[in-house]
Amino acid sequence: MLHMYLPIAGNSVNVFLIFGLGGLVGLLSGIFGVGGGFLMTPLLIMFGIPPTVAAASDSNQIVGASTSGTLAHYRLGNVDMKMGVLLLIGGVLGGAIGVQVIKVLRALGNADFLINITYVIMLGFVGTYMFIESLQNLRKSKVKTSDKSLESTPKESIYIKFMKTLPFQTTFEKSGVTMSMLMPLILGTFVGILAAIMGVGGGFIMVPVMVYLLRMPMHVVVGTSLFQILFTCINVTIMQSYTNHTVDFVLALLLLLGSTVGAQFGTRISKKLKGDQLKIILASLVLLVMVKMLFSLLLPPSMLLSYAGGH
Amino acid sequence: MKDIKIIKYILLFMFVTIFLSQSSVFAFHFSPEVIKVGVTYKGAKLYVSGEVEDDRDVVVQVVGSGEIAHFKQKGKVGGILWMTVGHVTFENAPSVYFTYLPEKISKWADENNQSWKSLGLGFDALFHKIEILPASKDKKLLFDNFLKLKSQDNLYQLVKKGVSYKALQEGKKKFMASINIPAKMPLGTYELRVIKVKGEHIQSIEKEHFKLEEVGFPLFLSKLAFEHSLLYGIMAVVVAIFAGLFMGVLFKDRGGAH
Repeated sequence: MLHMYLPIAGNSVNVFLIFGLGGLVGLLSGIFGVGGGFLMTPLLIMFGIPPTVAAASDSNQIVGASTSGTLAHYRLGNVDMKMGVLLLIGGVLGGAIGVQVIKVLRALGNADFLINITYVIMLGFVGTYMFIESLQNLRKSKVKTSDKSLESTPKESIYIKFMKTLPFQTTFEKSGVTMSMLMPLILGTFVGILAAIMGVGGGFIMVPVMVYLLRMPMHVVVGTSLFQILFTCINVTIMQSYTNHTVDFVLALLLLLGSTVGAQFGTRISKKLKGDQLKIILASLVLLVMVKMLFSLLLPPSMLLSYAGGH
Repeated sequence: MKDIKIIKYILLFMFVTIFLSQSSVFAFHFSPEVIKVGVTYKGAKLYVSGEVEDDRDVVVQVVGSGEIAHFKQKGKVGGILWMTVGHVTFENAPSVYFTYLPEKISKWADENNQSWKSLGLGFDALFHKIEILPASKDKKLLFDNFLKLKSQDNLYQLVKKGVSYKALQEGKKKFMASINIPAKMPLGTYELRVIKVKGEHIQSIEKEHFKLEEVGFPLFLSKLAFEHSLLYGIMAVVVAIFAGLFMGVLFKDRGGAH
């Protein structure tokens, strides 16, 4: 089997194994519009890559996968640039605030406790809500034929009424929604803060926010989320290379060869699935991650020590 | 006065002769002296051999320099949840610690008997040398976890029956060991120790050094990453974007997307 030495990770890996890993995560990325860091980083650590290098190199490969995915979704008309840019600005702002918040939390002590609990509760809540809601919609769709009609007719809730009162109202053509420009900015900031605190890319939080709070159609959510992730990961890759020297380019290259192919297939699968079908699979994944995290919190670890660094 | 000087020289000569016969300096060979880490490197073998008296045993060790290593420590919070509760630092912990034993000493190690302990070559010997900060009541527990972690990475190895013998003439035998250098072993210089054991005691220790160094593309990339980090980061991003675009175009041409 062909092995390759990774100079920054300081270890050797099987080329085909890493290519396969990249393919799997790229597939998920193309289908759901998530970066896949939640899955890739622990897998890389399992194969002997130091945590800091795994997380940083993963960001580098996500740049490739999300470029491939964004391009494919752009051709399908699934990328809302206007919304994406506003969310991105909010995300960058939120990331900067989040870094300061985490400093304060660490100074207060027990920051990890707060982070872990927030993570589990949030993933549990979002996953369960998404799962139940999508299941109900799927049942209803047997009566009403088009899932599009469901996505484009949100209920006139207090939330919708509140959104209409905000200034800077604008129409987002691709998403087919009209709202204040402040909404994506504020929500982007909120996701950025959470992503920075939790040390994740934010795709898992951003997708439900776009679906339920910005009321965007699921297919546009996937494309726009990838567009936003692309820029977030470009920033992370350059920063990690410059400040921590933790980006292993060889590892990232092997991963992205797999993930860019996977992302293309993922986009095709995504195209064939209905919005609610996509949501229900994503909700299952979110719940799976939540259960895994809950188990790791409840079960005694095999080792009390782990190398410092990483997520 | 002259007689006293002569006696002094005689005594000195006797002392040196006795010392040399006791320590019995012996030669050993090892290869390679420099392990080159290139693109397809996936670990290597270090071969050690030499001659020793029939009634002696040989233990081979590879020891890395003492380093400062930082770890996250997990503990129970609120009596239910396991999570990171703090950070610990290990000082003077060798980055690498391999011990290759011949059959006889492997049996001692299996039985963990007094003969084995008196040699002081096992992992236990490191317990008092390593300092754990902040000082903790659980030093033994932390040390055991440290050993587990290092052993899992193959950076700490205790290899039983790792040294073999071949009979030679004139009361001598040849010893051989094939040391497994894992891919994860950090680059640097390592001490190779060949320890001669007589009865239950260490008679002498011979030391040499070997190196692990990057060559070719890994060396080029490491230099770029550490000496021109901004350029390296931008290059990593540009290549990733082009790879993504290339795949996008490739798949479009195949008629998949529209």
